[in-house]
Amino acid sequence: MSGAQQVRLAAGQPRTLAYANGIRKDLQLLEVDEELLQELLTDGLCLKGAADEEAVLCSSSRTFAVKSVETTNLVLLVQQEAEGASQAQPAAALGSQDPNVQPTPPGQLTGLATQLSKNAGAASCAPVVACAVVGAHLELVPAGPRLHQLDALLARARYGAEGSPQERAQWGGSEAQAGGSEGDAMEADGGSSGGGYTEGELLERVQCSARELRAALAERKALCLDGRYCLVDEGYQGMLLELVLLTAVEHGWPLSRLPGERVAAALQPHGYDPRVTLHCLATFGSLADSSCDGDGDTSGSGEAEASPMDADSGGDPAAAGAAAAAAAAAGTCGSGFFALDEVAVCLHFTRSLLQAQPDWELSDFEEAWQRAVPEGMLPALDMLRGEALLYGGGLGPHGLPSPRRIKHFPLSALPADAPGRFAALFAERARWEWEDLAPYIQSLRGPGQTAEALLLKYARATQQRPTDPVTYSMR
Amino acid sequence: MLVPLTAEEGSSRPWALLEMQGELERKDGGSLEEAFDVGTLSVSSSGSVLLTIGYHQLEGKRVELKKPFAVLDRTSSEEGGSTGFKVIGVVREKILFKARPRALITKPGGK
Repeated sequence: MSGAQQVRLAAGQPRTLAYANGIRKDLQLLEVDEELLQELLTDGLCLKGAADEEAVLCSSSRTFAVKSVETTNLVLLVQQEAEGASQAQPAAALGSQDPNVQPTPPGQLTGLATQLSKNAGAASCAPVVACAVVGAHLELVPAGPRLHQLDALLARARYGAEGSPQERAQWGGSEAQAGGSEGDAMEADGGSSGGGYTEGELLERVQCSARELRAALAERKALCLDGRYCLVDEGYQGMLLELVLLTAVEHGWPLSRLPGERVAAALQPHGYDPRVTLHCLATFGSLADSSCDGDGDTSGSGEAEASPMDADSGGDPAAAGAAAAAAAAAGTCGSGFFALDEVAVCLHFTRSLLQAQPDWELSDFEEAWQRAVPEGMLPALDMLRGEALLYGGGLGPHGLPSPRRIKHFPLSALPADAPGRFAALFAERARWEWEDLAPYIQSLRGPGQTAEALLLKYARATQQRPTDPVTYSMR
Repeated sequence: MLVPLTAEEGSSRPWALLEMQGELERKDGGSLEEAFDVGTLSVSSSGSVLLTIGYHQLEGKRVELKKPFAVLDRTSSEEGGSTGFKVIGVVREKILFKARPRALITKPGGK
């Protein structure tokens, strides 16, 4: 018989099956695919869950729901046998070749006499010992990362937020400086704040894999200061963006090519941590020139170029250096140029308009919006998908044409779970057209799940006439 | 809470799994907790695996598992009392006794 078999059985050489003394019932079987098994054997995996959560299993890149599958069958586990355990002693081996102990011919039952000799043969060979019995095994079902805990944690770690005294105390130096007036106290000390969470702390509490966590942090535009993640308070971030825009105008820097470290250095005297300023640039824009990354020559020339400019504009060359150093420490590329993203910047102004007044007549809103955004940027209504809804229009109750209106309905304020999200959506509007609905349900999709499947489960599609658009209503 | 699943040298040792319907009972009054001999395993000439328990025989066969099982043993560290699991083996095939036991009939009246 092949060596790959775990229970070595050879024809004509029976073996006793035995229970071990105090057979174990506490072993677990975990069903894994080969890929995951390899990861388990080399790096290990992790089960995660608080007392009130369902546990999930995380690899370095994926998250699985864990399902316990019970069986009514008797399942015995046999530990690997030592080499040679199955080799019968020579006498027994000879005995098994005894012509009296024939293998059972097919279709014929072994007689009791044969059984006895079989048992005798088995007795001379080491028994197959079942060391554990299991009644269930664990199955893994690929699932999306469960990030609500991350959002809850990050909501408590807001940089620049107007917080309670305790929170301020927790923030330590960093908060004081950020809020403070003039900041030459802005030194290395800014990083010693106890706010935010390290990646390790987050991984411990959030039910997702390390890779999913990093993606989620990037998606949430989390700020990493000295290895601790937090969110930048929206109000603070917005104020900073507006200051960045003013500074850009003041220095004549094009919004499509903002020199990161110089912007940061210019704002530093006003109490803004250069790392936070660079993060703000990265949040509302993207690094336009990637050639600088980690390249000594380029970043060196960038700094050299920066200093005279700053001297001209009354800035402090040392500050520029500090900003660059801080940027390097924060892992961003300080000497890069940032191109502000039109949509992100326009959305920021939309939010501040809609927060001040959640419901507008569309034409008024468009006018106010255009006035608010920096010159050269063109706000367009399709930027508002997932942020605001258009409604009204057509004829009003008295036959008078009623104006189109716009209303704040941000995705970020809706529940993260599918049933809750759909309930909130249908509470807002009984019927949705796909165009309006899509931005609100994209983020609900788990791995391999389509938006169609979600709609099928939670909504009812109707179409009044073949020419009408399909609308979705509550199921 | 984090419960690490870890492996060490020898974690990938192959284990075997035997699965049969129902449950075992001991007629001799002994408990299932203590060591005892269940029966005799053998292979038939047709390659199936036979488990003979007293006068009953189960016929089974080796089945390769679609996905392997990792055998996990709960561990708890001395200091923190935090639990974890250690992989102590991997199961890739099982011997499945699907059918009900068959009585072994000896010669009529020969009992």
